[in-house]
Amino acid sequence: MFLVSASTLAGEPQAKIGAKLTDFERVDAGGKAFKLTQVLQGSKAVVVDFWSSRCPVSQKYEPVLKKLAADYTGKGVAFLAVDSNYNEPTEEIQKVRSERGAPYPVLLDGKDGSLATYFGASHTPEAYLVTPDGVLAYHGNLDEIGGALDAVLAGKAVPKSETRAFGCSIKRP
Amino acid sequence: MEAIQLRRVDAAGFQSELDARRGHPVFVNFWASWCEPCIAEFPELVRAAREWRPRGISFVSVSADEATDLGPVEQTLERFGAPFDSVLVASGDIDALIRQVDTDWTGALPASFLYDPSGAKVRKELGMVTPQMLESWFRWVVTGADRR
Repeated sequence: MFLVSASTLAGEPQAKIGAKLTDFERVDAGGKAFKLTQVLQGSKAVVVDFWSSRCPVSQKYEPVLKKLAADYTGKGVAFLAVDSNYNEPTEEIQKVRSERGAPYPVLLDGKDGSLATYFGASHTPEAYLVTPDGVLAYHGNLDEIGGALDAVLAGKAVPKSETRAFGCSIKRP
Repeated sequence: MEAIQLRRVDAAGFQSELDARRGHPVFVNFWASWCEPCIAEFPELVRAAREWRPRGISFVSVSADEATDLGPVEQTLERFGAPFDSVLVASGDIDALIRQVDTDWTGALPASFLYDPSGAKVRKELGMVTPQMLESWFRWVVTGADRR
């Protein structure tokens, strides 16, 4: 399907559109563990959105993500936010999530942001869509993920699998 | 200080801006008023513009703020006295604009790019620039001393 780049090195992004993702597990700000393969069981798709308690763009897009969750959770889509910013404390994440009324868990990516590295996520918000069989179907902005969601739910090809938008750089140590 | 003229540009407008500046090196910085590291590097960009514009480098500043509310952009420019050649505001199809600027760039801010006089992109930094980096970029593009 895709040629594997000869320059791929350990630590570089590995998630690719059309390829199966490696399983991952992270705990949320409340200490509950979420494993991709378990979340995928019984789901028709999973949205993973890189999120921040401090980024104004992430904040601005919280209603967009909440609306997507409201519209698609009933259709079998699971939502996971991920905070990969090393400088955002767990208590702050928990507080902000609660204040914004986010219905999805916010997973903690640890100080190294290794999940962001794996996904190749560089800013917030930056979203990914995973099919029930664990294949990455979409990477990009939250404005256009709806079309990809509809396509995956309908078993059709995603019309635009990569989109871009401005956002806050994920803060690394 | 001269009044700062803001201009909204989409992907085509951005390209026109570069085309119009062909013949000179062009430094382009993408930023937003809400972006902390962008604001942190702003004084260095201002300092670099004061030093290098007289030596022939054009400075194009592109804001990623909402094109519908330019107040925060104007306030930031006034606060720093931004001595740039152009201040543009990204608008229209942002996905297309980001893609056109650089295929490796997802839109994380800040991001800076250097174009040579032929319009070819010769340097990029997806993240904050450093004074040493800018010095090296500009010295290289102006003198061509290290070109190979």
